[in-house]
Amino acid sequence: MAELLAVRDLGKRYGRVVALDGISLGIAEGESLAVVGQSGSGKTTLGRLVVGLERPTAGSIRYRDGELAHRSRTRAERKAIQLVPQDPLSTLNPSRTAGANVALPLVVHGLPRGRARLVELFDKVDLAERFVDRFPSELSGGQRQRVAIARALATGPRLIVLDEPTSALDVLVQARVVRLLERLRQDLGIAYLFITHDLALVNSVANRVAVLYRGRLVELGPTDSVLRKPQHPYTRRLLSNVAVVDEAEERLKPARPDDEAVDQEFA
Amino acid sequence: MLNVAGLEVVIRRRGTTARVVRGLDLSVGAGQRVALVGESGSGKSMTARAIMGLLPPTASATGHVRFDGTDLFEAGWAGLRGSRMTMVFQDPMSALNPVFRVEDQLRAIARSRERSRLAALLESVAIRDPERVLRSYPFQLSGGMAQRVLLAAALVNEPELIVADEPATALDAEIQQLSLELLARRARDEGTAVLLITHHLGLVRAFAEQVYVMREGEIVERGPTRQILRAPSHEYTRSLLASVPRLSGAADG
Repeated sequence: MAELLAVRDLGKRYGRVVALDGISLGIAEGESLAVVGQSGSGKTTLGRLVVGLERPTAGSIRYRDGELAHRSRTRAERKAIQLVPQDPLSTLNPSRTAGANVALPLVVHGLPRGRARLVELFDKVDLAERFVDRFPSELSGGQRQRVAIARALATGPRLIVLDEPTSALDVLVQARVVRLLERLRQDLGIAYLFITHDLALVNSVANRVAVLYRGRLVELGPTDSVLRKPQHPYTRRLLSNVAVVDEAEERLKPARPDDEAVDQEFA
Repeated sequence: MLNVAGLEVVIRRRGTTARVVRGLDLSVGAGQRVALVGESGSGKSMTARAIMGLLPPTASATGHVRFDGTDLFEAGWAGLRGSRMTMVFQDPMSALNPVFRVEDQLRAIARSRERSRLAALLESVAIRDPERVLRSYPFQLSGGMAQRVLLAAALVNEPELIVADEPATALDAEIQQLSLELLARRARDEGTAVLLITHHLGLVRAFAEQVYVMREGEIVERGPTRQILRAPSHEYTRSLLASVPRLSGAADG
């Protein structure tokens, strides 16, 4: 598969605080890469740099043949890389209907924005036409997240950064949204950068997984091998914290390494 | 310690009423760890609020909530809530007051106000540098640290009952596990009764001895956690179980 996005030695500092340091990873066309870490690991910063909400202080971000890191993005590049945030309530405009929210990127990018197009986008995320006219406050958490996904799909992206898209949702709703995302990826060939703190979720959402710890990449590999043979003590610690529901799953968890082991390996 | 019988909660909104809790029975004994599990909208959070006397103005409750034998719907929560029974909320940042230092927030609710006791309390919730945290404002704390402070606030008066509503759901698994470990230790060492409200059966398995499964305002299944997770008898419990993400492969709920 051709590489869609390549990040090299990416760094981001806020004053003296190093949020990201020397991150290198790639995402192929249609691939889903999970980025896992605790709060403060830098995973959200990575997503914001990839989407272009902020600029890195070091390194490069290549999308296809274009270097994006240190310049404004072209319209085509902005259309190609979209974001689904964790909490759609905070990014959906509450005073506009769900349809008007989804239409906004169409307006911004001068794309067809008739009712038929909106209904088509809502249909892609399994929302019936009547939801076009609802306000965000009238929707459930799962429905809101579908609206946020429809909005991200509106510009025909090739890569969507999903920042904890299901962590505010119940497990049942989460499972449905995860299935929807997987179906969209297969049908539309979109690649995902799937940011999550939940290592258990990775199996359901990604082919490969990158583990971030204190702004650095500590492990990167196929999902199966990272989950079954984690190399870094920090990955083992994340795995040991997963709340599982049966004995078979419990046996897949490594013993919890102590903090010193994690820090020593890191140093 | 806590006995809930025939609890009904009704919410009035735009001229309509919704019965969000329908005849719920539940009890938590001293030192017991009990979970109430269900989706959002199942009525589990309203149950927690009814128990604590913290229902929103649009909601009203009937039935019985007895704490240590006293019917709270008759006697009220004065002298109990915040001291003998406390609650841990979902979002630590919105539950802490942003304009007061941690020390002042703890002092405002604590019966004993000695600084050394407050520091020891913070140490007991795995805060390594309690002096710094006591001096901090909430915005100076990480999410995990804020969650621990919130837990400390719930523990400061050595309550006999703690209701924990999705503690640290928005945070990472490590903080979640830590919160539950600390609550479990309280239950074991101090005989505190703990009611955990959650949607995640993995957390239920890690924490609770007894579980009540709630759907659309009603308990659909109850029993020892191990038994319910091994052989759920209700379809809804099975679907909750199936939708928990698996290390071994995709969830299929």
